Amino acid sequence: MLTIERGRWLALAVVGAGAVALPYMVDSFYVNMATQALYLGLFALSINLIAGYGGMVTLGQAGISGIAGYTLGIAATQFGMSLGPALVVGFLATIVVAVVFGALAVRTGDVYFLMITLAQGMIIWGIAQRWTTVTGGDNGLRGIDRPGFALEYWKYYYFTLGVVAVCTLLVTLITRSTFGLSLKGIRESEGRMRPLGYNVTLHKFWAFTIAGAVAAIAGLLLAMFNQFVSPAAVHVKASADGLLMSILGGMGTIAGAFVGSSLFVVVTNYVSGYFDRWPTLLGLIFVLTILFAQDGIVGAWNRLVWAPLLRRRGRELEAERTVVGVGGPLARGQPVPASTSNVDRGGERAPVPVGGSPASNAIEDKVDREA
Amino acid sequence: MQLKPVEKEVRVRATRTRRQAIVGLVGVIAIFAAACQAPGEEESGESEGPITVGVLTPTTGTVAAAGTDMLNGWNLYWELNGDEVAGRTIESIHEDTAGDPQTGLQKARKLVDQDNVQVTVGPLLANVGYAIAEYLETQPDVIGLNPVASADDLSQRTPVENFVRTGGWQSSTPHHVAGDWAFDQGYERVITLCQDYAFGHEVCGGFTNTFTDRGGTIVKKLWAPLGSSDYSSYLAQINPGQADAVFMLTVGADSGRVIKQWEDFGLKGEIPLIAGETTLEQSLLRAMGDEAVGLQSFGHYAEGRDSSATQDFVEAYQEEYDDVPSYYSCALYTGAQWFAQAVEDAEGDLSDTQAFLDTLRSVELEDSCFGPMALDEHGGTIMNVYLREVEKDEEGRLVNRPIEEFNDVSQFYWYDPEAFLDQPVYSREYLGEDWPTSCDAFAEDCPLEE
Amino acid sequence: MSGREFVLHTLNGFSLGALLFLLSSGFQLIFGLMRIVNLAHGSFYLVGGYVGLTVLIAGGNFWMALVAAALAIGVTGLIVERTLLRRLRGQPMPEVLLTVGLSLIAADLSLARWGGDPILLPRPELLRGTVELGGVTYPVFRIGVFGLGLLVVGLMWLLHTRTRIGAIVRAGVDDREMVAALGINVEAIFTGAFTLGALLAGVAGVIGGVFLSLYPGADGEILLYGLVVVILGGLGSLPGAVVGSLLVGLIDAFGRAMVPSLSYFLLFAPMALILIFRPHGLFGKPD
Repeated sequence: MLTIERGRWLALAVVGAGAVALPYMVDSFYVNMATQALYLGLFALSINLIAGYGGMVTLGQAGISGIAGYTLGIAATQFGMSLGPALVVGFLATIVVAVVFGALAVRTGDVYFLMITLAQGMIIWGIAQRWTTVTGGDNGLRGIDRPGFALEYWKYYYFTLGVVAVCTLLVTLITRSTFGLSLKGIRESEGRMRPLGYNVTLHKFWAFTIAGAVAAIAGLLLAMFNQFVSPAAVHVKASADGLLMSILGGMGTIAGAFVGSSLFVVVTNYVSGYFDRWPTLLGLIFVLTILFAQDGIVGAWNRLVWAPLLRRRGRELEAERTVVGVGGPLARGQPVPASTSNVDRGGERAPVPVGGSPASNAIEDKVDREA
Repeated sequence: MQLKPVEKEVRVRATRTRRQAIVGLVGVIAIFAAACQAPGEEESGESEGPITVGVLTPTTGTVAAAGTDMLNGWNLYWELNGDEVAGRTIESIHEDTAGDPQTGLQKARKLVDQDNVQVTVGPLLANVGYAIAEYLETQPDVIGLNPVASADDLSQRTPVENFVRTGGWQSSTPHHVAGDWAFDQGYERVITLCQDYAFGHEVCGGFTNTFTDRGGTIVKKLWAPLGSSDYSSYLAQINPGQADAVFMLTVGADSGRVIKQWEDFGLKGEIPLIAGETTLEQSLLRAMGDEAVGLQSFGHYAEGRDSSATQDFVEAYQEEYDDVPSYYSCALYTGAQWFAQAVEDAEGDLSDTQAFLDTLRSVELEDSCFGPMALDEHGGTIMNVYLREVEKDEEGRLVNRPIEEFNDVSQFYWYDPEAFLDQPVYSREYLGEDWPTSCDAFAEDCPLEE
Repeated sequence: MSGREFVLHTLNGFSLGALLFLLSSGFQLIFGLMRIVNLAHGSFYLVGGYVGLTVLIAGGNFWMALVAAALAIGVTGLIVERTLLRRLRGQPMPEVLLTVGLSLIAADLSLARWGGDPILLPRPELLRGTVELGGVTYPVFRIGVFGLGLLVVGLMWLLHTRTRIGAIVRAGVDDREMVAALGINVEAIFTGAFTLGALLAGVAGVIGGVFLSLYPGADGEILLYGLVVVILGGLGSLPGAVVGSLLVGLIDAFGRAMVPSLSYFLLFAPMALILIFRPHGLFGKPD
């Protein structure tokens, strides 16, 4: 019998098989598009970790991801390092920057966090643009090699697919760990988690750092794919694009990041050939998502298809956990109907809605059962 | 043992995740297994039927105006002359680079991979040009026409075999002339104000190198970052008593501001201004007013040039697009003319890329909207340089009228090519102020002061 | 640095500061009252400038352009607030993200409608020419911009201290829950504040079109300056906007002159310091 679990595995297997068979089915243009969707998806996933799981919306993630690409480029072109050590240096440098930036940013919440990360991203962009002797300024840095075994487009695709698969698996494990669950709890209700003895700031700091590591991998994959880095890769627009992808796909879901990045790549690479006003199209998609489907494509799928399916089989708790929360993780607490809203219910003091939110419920459930 | 709630949750999940990890691992192995087998490769270009050309210009982003001018120039040529050359139809596919190297590279890949173009033309910006040139190096069957991106090294120290300057120029070329000319005017002390990125460095280097060869001194070097919102801080540092003239190079929106403020701060008429190619370019003159009238600049393109090649082009362009064509339009128009000539010379046979590249390099245009053009053995263009002055025409529009013409200017100017190429490319650190020190570095006459 | 240069840089700093105040005061008003970080403020500015351009092309004069831009962008703000932002009331993040989306659309549509050529708007007859000030030649227009900045500072001060909106803003900055508890029906006031903020951005756009020119990307650049102003001064604070604008104007003018290659960082270094030691700005109060 086709149980829900089996169905899920089957779907995953089909997607996996499709990904592996792709270069044999389509030409290099589409394979390259898929490569982009993969590393951009990983980038969106890193934003998702901070925003979707940690509840902090960032507009500076491209800066962090770009540190990896730039360090790789500088190590390879200016210091003549070979690719392997240069990749390690690029990765480590990004972690250092993420630690420093994270320490500065996580102390604040909401809008301030957004503005601080925005400022951090702009500083990195400024360095990339203005420190021309090191970063090449506007010209960027050329001469970044791909690994010797992944020179051709399709080999690089497989390389990217392998790296992204491993990283995604690791991120999935993290989000399902104790750490990931408490992070979700914090996102849903910081006020409840503090008294439970959680070090909220430390959790956020770790989320930021881990996201930095994931963004670093994405940045390295991007730099090797293009074989160069330029200031555009660290611009605020790149950060906003990443945010768009992760919101579009569905915040707080792993698959969402890749669904979002695929859509983004299709619009920028394919639709743009037929429709001049594609930036408007992207903006419209963004606005409509924010207005009507804050939980994104995957979130909506979970809410409308998956959760009812689980409920029908009597698995209420799981069903509830599948749904990210009405209004998506963007909203701290539930949206307030216009008629009752006064000045503002956002921010940390927002009243926790009756019934609480899924993740804190999950934890409370456990507490109840043990008691 | 009493488990803490969350720990128990984790343990239940742990078995499930372990199972997932195994499946994931199997997946990864499958990926690497598949990676050992190559998918089918595609065929390269054909020798009959239509020739598809990918046109790479920015039509969104900050340099969209110039990019649109480029596209118009390209389309105008085929409209006026028909799109059939030596029995083959020229089909163009446009892609928007957005003025960004990353996007430009993706679009170049798209044109080559999906549209199977055999020829690309463009882009606008030097940084995008480098990115595309590097990509074309890996695609030896694709022919890249480069009529605009002017980075010196594309035809000096690091040329790319299949990326050919067809109607293009080198950043420093017209400004070598300007430096020499400035000294002839009796200017001995000059302040330079250039845009602080590679193009600005190359332009300022060109001026500085020849000007100091003659014995002139650069008394102050001002560098303005691209996109400076306000030039008053730089202009405040120009004291008319300190220098005999100012050499200035700006691009895009920066030009409009600096020229307006040049008048605002009372410098116009106080101290002579020598501008570079892009500062008083036609695409920018459209947005300027009386403040620009009478200003002089050096460049390869002068829309007011009294020659049928230029005037016919200007009139046809006006008819079609209702604008005076800019340098960018002329460049792509010339690029099309150049390419058509090469296809004609090769009798429509592009099957041997190497042979066609040779044909492309041997094209000589007797006249174009720039004037006569040819390539030297390094692939740099040899063409006219004009000293231009901004005038109002009968309809009240601003145009650049040539008041002095310098013929057949080479990218090496008066230097010996080998000695010149031994030096690094112009940068903020190297503007050629102290080079050359001996007369050996010159091709013929030695301009150094005794 | 000579005395002449010092005077010039100071004047430049003040006039740029005045323009930045026009922009950031609206931004501050919107944030102070509604807690919305309006990242479409730069788009309001740029489109305002373009509306002014359209009026000038149609034969209007500078003052007509100014009024038309103010009205057009004010109405745009009204519509955005009524139809879009109202749906998201109480969700700070979606509100910010919505404005990001709107700015993407505005940038692209402006390019389609007005093209990519950089455009300098002509200055009004009244403010042409130059004056001798402290031994330097200085354009009258810039002094006019500074005067307009002072005027708006005065009006905003009156708005803050003498009107109901001002009272609510001040109360809201001090204690947001108290205002909510008072049960004031603030919907109309929200709409009014957002409209006024947008209107000021439209005015700034026309002034900026003369001052700095209009081109694709000007929206992002001016927004960046505006953000630095409000981070320095403190979100939602009127004195913060005044001091922040002048600081940024002066840092920009002197920075460019004295350490041109570092001028960008000179702008961000104080911001970074503020963020570390006083995350809510010089005059801002923590939530």
